[in-house]
Amino acid sequence: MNNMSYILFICVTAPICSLLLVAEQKVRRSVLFLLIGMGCCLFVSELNGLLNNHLDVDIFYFTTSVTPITEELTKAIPIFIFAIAYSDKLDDLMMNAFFVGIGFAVLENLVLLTQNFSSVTLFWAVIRGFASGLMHGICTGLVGICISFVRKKKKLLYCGLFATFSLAIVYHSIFNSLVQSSLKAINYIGFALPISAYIPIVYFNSKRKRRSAQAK
Amino acid sequence: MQIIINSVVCACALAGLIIGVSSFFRKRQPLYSQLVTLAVGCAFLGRLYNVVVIICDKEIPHTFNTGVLGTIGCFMFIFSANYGEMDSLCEKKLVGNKKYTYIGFLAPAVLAAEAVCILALSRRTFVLRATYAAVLLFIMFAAYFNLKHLLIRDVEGGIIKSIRGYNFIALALESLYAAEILFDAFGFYKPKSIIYLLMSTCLIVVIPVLKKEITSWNVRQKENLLGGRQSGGAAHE
Repeated sequence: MNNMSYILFICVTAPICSLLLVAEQKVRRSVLFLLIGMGCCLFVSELNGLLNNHLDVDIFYFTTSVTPITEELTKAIPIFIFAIAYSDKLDDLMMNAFFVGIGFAVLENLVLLTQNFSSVTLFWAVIRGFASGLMHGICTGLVGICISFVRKKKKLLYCGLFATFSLAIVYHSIFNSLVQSSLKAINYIGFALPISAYIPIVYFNSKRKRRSAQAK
Repeated sequence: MQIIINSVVCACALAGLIIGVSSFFRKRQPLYSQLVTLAVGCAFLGRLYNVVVIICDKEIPHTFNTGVLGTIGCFMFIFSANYGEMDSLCEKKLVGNKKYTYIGFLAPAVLAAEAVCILALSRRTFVLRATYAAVLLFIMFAAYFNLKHLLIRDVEGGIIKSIRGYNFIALALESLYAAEILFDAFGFYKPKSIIYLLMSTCLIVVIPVLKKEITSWNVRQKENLLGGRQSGGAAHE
């Protein structure tokens, strides 16, 4: 990876870091997870670069079978540590996981923007923002939701965690396969995939919150 | 042909997932059923990956691919549900159930023999053979508990006995996945259509059967409560 990624990382994270000292505890935690997500992106881009040099595979296979594994595992580690050390509540885990995913997507989009500066269009921005960006948030959010289920019992944790990672990796891999297809129609299905998963998540989450507010 | 049969399995798994989410992801529903629903979700995504790859790349890569993780995730969720939620009930009454623990090992033993056969005799690449063996390993974990719970005697007011239908279907699903791997490893493609058809049936049926059997838990719980109250009342009088 070139220096540009590090430059972007510092430029974006430094002002956000200043928020950490003044924000309230809940906001601070969210901001911290956003920053962690960006850090994960930086780490993963280095790791993927190394793996790409060492594995003798074509780019389609690499992006559909290798990068989903490295990215999802790296993004899930902070959530797992949070679930073990602090809280296994569904709300906390889902929100923090989403923040990690979105932080990851923000830096990834910025790096790709600088790499393809001459060829990017408004359409590219919409696709990167609403499809790829959302996909990272959903995948990590899914990990957060599933960890809240499997964290309830120690016996469930390790196997459930592995199964959860599998779920997120396969989803990510399907998205990557769809958007890299040579057929335009398949690409559009890929772009619509994260939105079609995001809408039910928002619906069920708001329904659940409304119900818990009524119960209170 | 590949795309049609994979699409059928995928559609059936999606139907099972929708039924599971609408039935079990509500308040006061057992975690066990939620984990089984997630297992069906994993099976759906694993199969969807195959469909997508066939559309994009014309064929499923003959090496490790992430679709395999869908299958592994499916059986890990089934294993987690049985090991984490159900098996502790059997442990409480281990004396009478000891022999079923040993009989349960029959399923993993058969699958282990299959894994050894594939590793030793299949002409596929080493990576693919190792991937098949790894998937079989995860099926072994799940199959052990499903067979054990299928045979076990009544525990805790018939909780495990009442989900025998589910355990039978889960065991059938595990056998079908193992058969698919065996045929893939040795290049027998003709019987696979029947396997996919049976697999689709299992995936669409597993959640409704579990739902039906789980409702008997609530009925029994209520009966026990009522029985307890009546006997308590009589003792008080």
